[in-house]
Amino acid sequence: MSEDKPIDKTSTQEVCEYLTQRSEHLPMGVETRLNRARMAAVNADTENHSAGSRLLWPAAGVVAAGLAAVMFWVARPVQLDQEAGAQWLVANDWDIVLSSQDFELLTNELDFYQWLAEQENSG
Amino acid sequence: MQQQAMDRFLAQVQNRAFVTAKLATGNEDEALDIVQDSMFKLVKQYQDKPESQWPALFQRVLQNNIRDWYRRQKVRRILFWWQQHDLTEETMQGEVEPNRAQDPEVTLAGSQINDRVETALKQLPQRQQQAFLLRAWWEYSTDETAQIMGCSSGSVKTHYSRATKALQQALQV
Repeated sequence: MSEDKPIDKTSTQEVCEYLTQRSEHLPMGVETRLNRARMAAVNADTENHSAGSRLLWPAAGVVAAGLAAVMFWVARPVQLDQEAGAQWLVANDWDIVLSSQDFELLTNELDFYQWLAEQENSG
Repeated sequence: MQQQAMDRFLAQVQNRAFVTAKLATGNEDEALDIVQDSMFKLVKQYQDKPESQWPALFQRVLQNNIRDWYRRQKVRRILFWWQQHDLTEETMQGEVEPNRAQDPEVTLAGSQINDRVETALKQLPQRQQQAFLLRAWWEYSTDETAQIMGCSSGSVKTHYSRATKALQQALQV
């Protein structure tokens, strides 16, 4: 697993032993809260699956309404005066800034997923 | 079945994840929040992925959450710079920064060596600390660490090398 050797094995080992010891002897309160958090996370997924069908119809309604609004907006002939045009540009600039950040984040995640898939295939 | 496997996996990594987050934040509650959020995200988004991918995915989520925490701290420092200024003056007069503070639980339980290790680890810059923990303690390869940290293998090697040197110096004093 490790292709580059630690520079100082003694210090590294000492630190790792300390960390392992620390993780194995967490205060009781912390361990309890971690266990509770784990159970909540694992069980939340089951609850989400059963609640999913109940939530599906209202969510679909909201999506359909959103789509209808977008289609109405796109189909409408756009006549903007100068002031409204400027506001539109400002709003659009924000969209570009925000979307480029999203895109960057998305690209980073995609790289990671691609690497993970390659690891899976090679292993 | 998948749920049981996920429970087993999370049980295996939760303590180490907590120690990792606690070292980064220096705060027990913040660390617990980060680990809890990472568990929820893993279950919600990646439970259907092959089990062999869970360790890397969990690390990725955990490290992203720690990075987000650092970002929020940074924004908070910028927004409330005048409070930070007061805090810096106090720090200069002898107080220790919260993140670098001696952990009472460690001071009580641990020996002097443990105190030194803890302090040395907390004093590492975030990326060095991250690289060291992933490489040396979680035992990920350089390539795996690079993917988890979202940087190049060369950067991981640099961070790791600096971290081990800094720790070596701190522990030899």
